[in-house]
Amino acid sequence: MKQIKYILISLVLCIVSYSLLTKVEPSQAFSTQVLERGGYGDDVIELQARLQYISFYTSEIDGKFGYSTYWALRNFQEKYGLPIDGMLGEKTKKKLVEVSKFHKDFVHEQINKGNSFTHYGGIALEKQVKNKKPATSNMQLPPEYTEKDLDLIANAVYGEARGEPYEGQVAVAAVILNRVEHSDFPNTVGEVIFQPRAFTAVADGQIWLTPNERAKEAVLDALNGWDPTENAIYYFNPDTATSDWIWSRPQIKKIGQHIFCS
Amino acid sequence: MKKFAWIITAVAVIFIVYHFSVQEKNTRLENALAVQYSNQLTSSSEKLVKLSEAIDQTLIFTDKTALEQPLDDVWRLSSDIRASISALPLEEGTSTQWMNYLNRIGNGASQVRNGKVPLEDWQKSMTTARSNLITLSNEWAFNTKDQGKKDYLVRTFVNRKVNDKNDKSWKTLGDSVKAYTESDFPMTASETDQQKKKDLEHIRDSEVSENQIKERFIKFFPALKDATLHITESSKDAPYPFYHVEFHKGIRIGYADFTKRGGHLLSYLLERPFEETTISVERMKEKAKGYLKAFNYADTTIVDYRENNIAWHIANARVDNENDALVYADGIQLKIAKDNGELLGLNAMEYIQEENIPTQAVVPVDYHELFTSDFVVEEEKLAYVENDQLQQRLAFEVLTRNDSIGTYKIYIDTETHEILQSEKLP
Repeated sequence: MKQIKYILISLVLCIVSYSLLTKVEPSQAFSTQVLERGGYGDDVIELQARLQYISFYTSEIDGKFGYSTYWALRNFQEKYGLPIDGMLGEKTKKKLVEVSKFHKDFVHEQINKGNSFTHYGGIALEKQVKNKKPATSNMQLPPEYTEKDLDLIANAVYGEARGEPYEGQVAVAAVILNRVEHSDFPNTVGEVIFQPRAFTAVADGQIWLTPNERAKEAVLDALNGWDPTENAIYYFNPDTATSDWIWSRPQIKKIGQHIFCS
Repeated sequence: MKKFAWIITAVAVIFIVYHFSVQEKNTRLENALAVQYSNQLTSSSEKLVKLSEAIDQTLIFTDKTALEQPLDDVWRLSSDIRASISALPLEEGTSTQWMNYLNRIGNGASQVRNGKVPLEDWQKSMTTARSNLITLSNEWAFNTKDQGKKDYLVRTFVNRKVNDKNDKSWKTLGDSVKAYTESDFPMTASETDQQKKKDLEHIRDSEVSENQIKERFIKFFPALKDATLHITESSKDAPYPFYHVEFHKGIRIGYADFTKRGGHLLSYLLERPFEETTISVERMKEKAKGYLKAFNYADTTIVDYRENNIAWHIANARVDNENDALVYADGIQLKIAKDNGELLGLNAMEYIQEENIPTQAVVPVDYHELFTSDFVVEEEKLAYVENDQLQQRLAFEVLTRNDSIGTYKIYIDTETHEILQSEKLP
C-alpha cells in the first residue's frame, strides 16, 4: 500500500514537472495580446519587422495587420511546423522571437520620421532607409477608401465644421461621401471637395488647415457607414447663408449650426 | 507746410489702402490658384490609384469575358487622367512623357481587348507599370504638411515636381510600353457607384410616438437611462420621417436616429474621452456578438473588423437562411471602444429593409480557366452582391492572392459566371 502511495506521488510529481517544463512562457518582446487580421499598433509593427527580418514579409511596415501580414505569418507558421491559423499567439510569438531580430528604436524612429524603410536581416540598417514617404493618417479603412480620401475629407471637415459637435463633423463627411455617390456630383472625393463654390472652406482657404484627430475620427466613422444626415447632399448655416436657393432645398434635420438638406 | 503735411498724409493713406487692396487681391488669386492646382493634382492622384487597381485586375484573369471590364476601365481611366494632366502647368517634356505613357497604357488595353496584342505581353509590361502609377499618385496626393501653408502644393509643384530632375526617370517608364501606338480617346464617365443605400421611404410599419422612442432608447441603451435626452422630429420635407435623439450623460455625448414608422434604430454614435488600455480581439468579438444579440440582429454575422486608435469598426452582414450566403446589402456596422468594449456606434440603416432575393442556380466555376496561374484561390463562399442593374445576385466570393500584386476578393455570379465585383483587400 505504501509502495502504491509512493508510485502515485512520483507520478503526480512527474506530470507537474513535465507540464511546468513544457508550459509556454510568454515571449519577452510582444504584449500578451493575441494578434490577428484587423489588428493595429506597436505589436503589429514588431510582427511585420520580425517577419521582414527573415524575409517572410516584403510589404511596408505600417502597423496594420492586413492580408500581406496574414499570408506572411501563415507561411512562417507553415515553415516552422506551427498551427497555421494566421494568428499571433504565444507559440508563434516565441518562435518568431527566437529566429528573428527586432531593432525597435530603428523601426520606430523611421516611422516617426515618416521615412520609407525596410528591416531585412543581413543588410546594414542605415542602407535600408529610403526617402520620405507622403504623410498620411495611417488608419485602417474599409477597402473601397484610401488614406488619401480620409486625409482630404478630414481637411474639409476641419475647415468647414471644427466648431461643430462630433455628430455634425461626421455629418459633413457623410455629405461629401453622399455627393460622390450622387449622379449630380463628381465621382471622386477630390473633385467633390474642389468643385467650384461647393464648400466655403475651399473658397476661403481654410481647407489648408491641418485637421485634428477628432476630425479624422469623424471621417473614419463616415467612411465606415455612419450618416447622421440621413442621406443629405447639402448643408448650410442659416445664420450666415446668403443664397436664397439653398432655402428651397428639402430640409432633413439640423445638427449644431448646420441644416442638412436633400 | 501744413498743406504739404496733409498731402503727404493723404498720399500715405492712399498708398496703404492700395497696398492692402493689392495684397488681398493677390491672396485671393493665390488661393484660387492653389485650389485649382490642388483639384487637378488630387483628381489625377485619385484616378492614378483607380487606374493601377484596374491594371491589377487585368493581371488576375485569363478568361476573356472576365477581362473585358478591367480592360475597358484601363482604357477609360487612362484617357481621363490624360485630360487631368493636360490641365496642369507641367514642364512640357514631363507632360509629354506622361501623356504618351498613359496613352500607350490605354491603347494597349484596347488592343488586348480586340485581340491585337497577346494578353501575356500586356501582363508582362503592366507588372512594373502599376507600381509607377502608385508612385506618381503618392507624389500628387493632397497634402497639408508644412504647417498647412496653402501654397505648399503650388510651391513644391512649381519648384520640385515640374522640373525634369525628378527621382524617377519617366522616360524609362514610358519606354516599357513603347510598343503600343498612340491615339486620342474621348473623356468618359468615372467609376460606378458600389454602395447603394436603401430606400427607407417605403416602410409601411405603424408610426410610433416620441414617448415610445424614449422608452426604446432606454431599452436599447440601458446605461444611458438617466441621460438628458432631447428628441426632435425630422423636417417635414425629409424623404422618410424619423426621430433624432440627442443625449448627454457626463462625459458621454451622442445621438440616435429612429424611423418614425416602426421605430427602427437607424444609427447611433457616442463620443467620449478614451483610456489607453486595450481589450483583446476575443473580448471585442464577444462584445460585438453580445450587442448584435441584444439588438435582435440574430441573423447577422461578423464579416470584417478593423482596429484603429480608439475603437474597432466591425462590419456585419445578414446570413441568408436558405444557403448561408452573406447578404452584404443588409449590413450592420458596429463601433466598439478599445479601452473597455463599450458600444460607441451602431449603424443599421441598410438592415431595416431586407433585400428581396430570388432563387438562383449554382454552377461550379473552374478557377484554373478564370485566373492566371500566379493567383492562388484561398477561400470560396457564397454571398449576395449587386450587379450593374442593381439586382442582388448570388455569387461565389473568392479570396485570391498573388504575393506581388496583392489579395483580392472576386465575386462571380453563380449562374452566369459574370464577374460582378472585385475588391483589392488591404
